[in-house]
Amino acid sequence: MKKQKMGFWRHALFLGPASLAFALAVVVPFVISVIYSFTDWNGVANDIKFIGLDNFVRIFSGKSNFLGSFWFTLKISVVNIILINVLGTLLAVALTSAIRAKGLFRVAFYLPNTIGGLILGFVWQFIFVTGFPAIGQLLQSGFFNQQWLGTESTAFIGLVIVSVWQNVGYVMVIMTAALMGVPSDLIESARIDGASAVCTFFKVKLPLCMPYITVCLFWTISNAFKMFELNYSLTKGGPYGSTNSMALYIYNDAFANNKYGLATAESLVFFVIIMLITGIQMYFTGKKEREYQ
Amino acid sequence: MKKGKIGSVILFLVMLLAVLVFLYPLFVVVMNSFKPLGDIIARPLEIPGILHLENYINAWKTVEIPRVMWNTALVTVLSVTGIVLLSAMSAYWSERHPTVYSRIFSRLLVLSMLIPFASLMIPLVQVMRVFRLNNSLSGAIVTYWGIGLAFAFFMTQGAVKSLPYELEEAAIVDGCGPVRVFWQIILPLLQPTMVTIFVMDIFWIWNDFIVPLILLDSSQLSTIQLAIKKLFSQYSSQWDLALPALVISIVPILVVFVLLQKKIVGGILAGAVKG
Repeated sequence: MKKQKMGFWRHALFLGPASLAFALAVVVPFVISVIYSFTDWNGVANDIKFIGLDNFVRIFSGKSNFLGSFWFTLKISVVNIILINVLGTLLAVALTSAIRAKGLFRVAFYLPNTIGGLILGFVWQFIFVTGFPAIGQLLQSGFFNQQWLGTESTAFIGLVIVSVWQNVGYVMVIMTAALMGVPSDLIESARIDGASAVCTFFKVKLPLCMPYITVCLFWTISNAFKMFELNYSLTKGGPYGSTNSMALYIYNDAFANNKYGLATAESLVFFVIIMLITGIQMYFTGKKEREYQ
Repeated sequence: MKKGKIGSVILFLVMLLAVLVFLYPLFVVVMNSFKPLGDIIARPLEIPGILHLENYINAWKTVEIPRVMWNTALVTVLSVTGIVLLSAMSAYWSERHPTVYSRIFSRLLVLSMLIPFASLMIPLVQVMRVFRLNNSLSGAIVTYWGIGLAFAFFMTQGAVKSLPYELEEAAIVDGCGPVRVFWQIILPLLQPTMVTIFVMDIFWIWNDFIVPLILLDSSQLSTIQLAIKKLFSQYSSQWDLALPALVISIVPILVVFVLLQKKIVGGILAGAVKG
């Protein structure tokens, strides 16, 4: 098999347009971002001073409250990741058993995932502000009858509710495929050996689903840490900045507070955090999968 | 056998209840979108007596739905088509005619998947301004091409790997140039993968809010997400206007979802296995 010699122009024709778009949208902005992070630029002024590591010192000394948004993002991500994966798997288990109208149930649970986070945030704003108090009155329940978006803890729970509601369908779809792929003779032989349904689930089914669980974890983790739209539309980061996700914090510093230099430094810290999390994740899931094989 | 049947009936009822609770918020929003403001505030849980279609007419006019929908559809379709084509071209070429450049290119694409958009958005506005692409739909489209490329590239590369080289070889022997080989042989064979990417990216771009937010300032260019955001900041708690607008914004993507259901599930799984 002899390959043709390809001239420069043919390479350019096939790779050029993609390279150009990639350079314009990703490579160049990223490089500029790194450069800006060492400056005090405010986004408008013509004189840009290099201030060394000052921006990073401000971030890590707590002068900029970026670390606060990091803790918030970390906390809500952990809660979201656990709830979304556990509930999504439970739904998948229920909807792979012998019940009627499985298809309809799956469509219904997946539905919020097709709607944008911004829109969902506004939908739930209405539910929290107007719907919940009305339900509270109807049921005489103090749980519903409070200022849901007005206090730090309830705003946090509110964001969790909406995130889980939005994303549980994705995990359900993946885990449904995973559970349906478990060979039935394995389950049968476990049953003949006297294993209970619960035992079969944890000892036979789940280990076989490990690659899919990895996918779900990857997806939920990276989504959770990049949270932006929901905070923007549901709580606007409030009350008192308590629900600022990292992405929202960076956006505000850059486009609302005109601290471009500082914001680019924050965005680099954000990038490193995402990179570390992905790295750790790949290390652990790789190890787990090898153990089960 | 009897016991299993009762169990599945109970499970069915539990799931039915769960679905009703799950979809109730959307139902409440749709229901209230047909009521006058006073009724929305005073009795949000009641089913409307008469349907106030004026709400929808007002929302349609205030949000300028036809223009906004046109913008969103244009950006979505052109972005997704571009992503699919660019990724097919570049993935095919780097797989079949690898060079030092194509290796660096695909290495950079892998790395770029780690970069969150928030780490790019600040200078991105500047870069687009230099090329006069800020505040234009083309700027948003090029941005989507760039950030959507990585994932589509790896999906397509996997598909190219599985194509038999003999087909291309035969065509080349028959005197087919590389452009024709790509266009007439490779593209049709890549179609299933391209459809998968197309379907998945439609949802991403239609629902994306942050790119329009930073790149499309003028209200002439608003996409549906941006228009809804502007509506909410301008008329906060005017629910008789906001709720129908929300419903209108949800309907098109919901229709696409219902029509493409099977493909979407297939796409998620294909993406999951490769990604």
